[in-house]
Amino acid sequence: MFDTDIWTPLCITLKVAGIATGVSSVAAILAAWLLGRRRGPLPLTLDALCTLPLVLPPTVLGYYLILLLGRRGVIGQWLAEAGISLMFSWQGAVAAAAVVVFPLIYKSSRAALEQVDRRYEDAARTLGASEWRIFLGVSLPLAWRGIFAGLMLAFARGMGEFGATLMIAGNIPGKTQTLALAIYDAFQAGNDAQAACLVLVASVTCVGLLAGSEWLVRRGISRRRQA
Amino acid sequence: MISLHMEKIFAPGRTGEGFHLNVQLDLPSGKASIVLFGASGSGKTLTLQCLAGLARPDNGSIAIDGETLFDADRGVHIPARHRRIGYMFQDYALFPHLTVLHNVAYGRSGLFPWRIRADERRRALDMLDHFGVAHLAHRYPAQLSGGQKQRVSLARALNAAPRLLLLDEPFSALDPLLRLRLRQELRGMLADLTVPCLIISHDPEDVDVFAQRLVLFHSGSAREVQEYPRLRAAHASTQACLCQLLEAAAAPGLPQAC
Repeated sequence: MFDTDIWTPLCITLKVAGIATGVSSVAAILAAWLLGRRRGPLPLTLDALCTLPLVLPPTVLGYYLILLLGRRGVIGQWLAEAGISLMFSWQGAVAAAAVVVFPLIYKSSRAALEQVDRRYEDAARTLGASEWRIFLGVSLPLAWRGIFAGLMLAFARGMGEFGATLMIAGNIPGKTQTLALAIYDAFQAGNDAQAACLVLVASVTCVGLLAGSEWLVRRGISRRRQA
Repeated sequence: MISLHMEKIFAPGRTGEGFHLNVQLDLPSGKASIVLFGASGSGKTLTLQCLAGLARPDNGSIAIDGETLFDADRGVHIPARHRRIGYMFQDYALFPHLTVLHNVAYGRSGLFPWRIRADERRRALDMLDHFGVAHLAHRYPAQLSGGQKQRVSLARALNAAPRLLLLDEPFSALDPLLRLRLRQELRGMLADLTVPCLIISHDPEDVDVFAQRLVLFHSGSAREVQEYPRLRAAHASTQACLCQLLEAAAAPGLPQAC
């Protein structure tokens, strides 16, 4: 039959997508907050840069990341001195996925934060709160639904990341081979049964995740209504 | 003394006409409650926002009891959070994700408003008790009636120990019958306060109940009506008194409101 090792690529996929979403979310939500209410040419340019990974082909992102993180890259050189190499490691896959999912979190957080009624923030200001306190205690909790939806989308997208991951982390079974890469590998090798099995696992996991997050959001709403 | 000498100009845009707010007022900061009266769009709310630090005038200066809050020439603009000016919003703007207790304690809480110290909790409960709504402490704003929201929002503003309280159309979010009762209630509550109040309204009834002094707004400019209580006494009703004042304020040739 087929190689039963489905768990290893699945675990790598979940680990990479999870950490990438986590790392990216902090940066993306802060960027959304900082850029959301500023006007002018600089915020506009930064906004475009933050959205860029959404429209660029993942291979282009991979190329840029190699320039940045490769052994001779700007950050890579510095990391190499510290004894860290992101190339062909699962951490490299995390870096690739983090960049790819960044705009999804950034865009949805920005929309969600902009939809928070300004009066709540103004009320907090007249009550003596600093902007940072307002962000943590008022804006963020009021926008969490939209942000959460963005996080789920980002996680699902991170699970499917292929191009940039392949260029940076390669396709090393048991190390950097995620579900998407394993499927491509199995299909190329003519191992159709394994490919079909992996496709099924990927599909079920993604549907489960999206349905689960929807359920969590709804439960959150009904709780607040009842409370 | 509340000294407001400021201008804010909105150039005419594609969507609307321009607006020019020009306010030159010196009001006493004693106990008397002052009503800012004028039609919608005459610049009342914008004036309060400038005073509270939520909007920034284009030029002029704002000072309370000699302390400069804004001065365009010297580049002074104290942020709203340092002004200690309480603000009751038109539909109260209670934080929907916090309980009544945490709303009231917000002005004195730390980084996370849902975690408050025991003494702040007691203080907030005392404040709620003072306004007769301590039993609602653990409810969420969505579960309150209009009158309850008003009391909670007043408690929240006062718990931050402001030196001046601004009330923006305190009754416009309520239905008319409730408005009647709550007006009397709010008057009672404000009478107990030691903080001066500025109330803005476009409703003559509010003027009738609250105005110890009156400021009239007309298309972006404001002036205080001298000796308003005496003037009011000379008229049959507040309505008649205001009509006459507005007619005098309006430029000749403009259609009259009444």
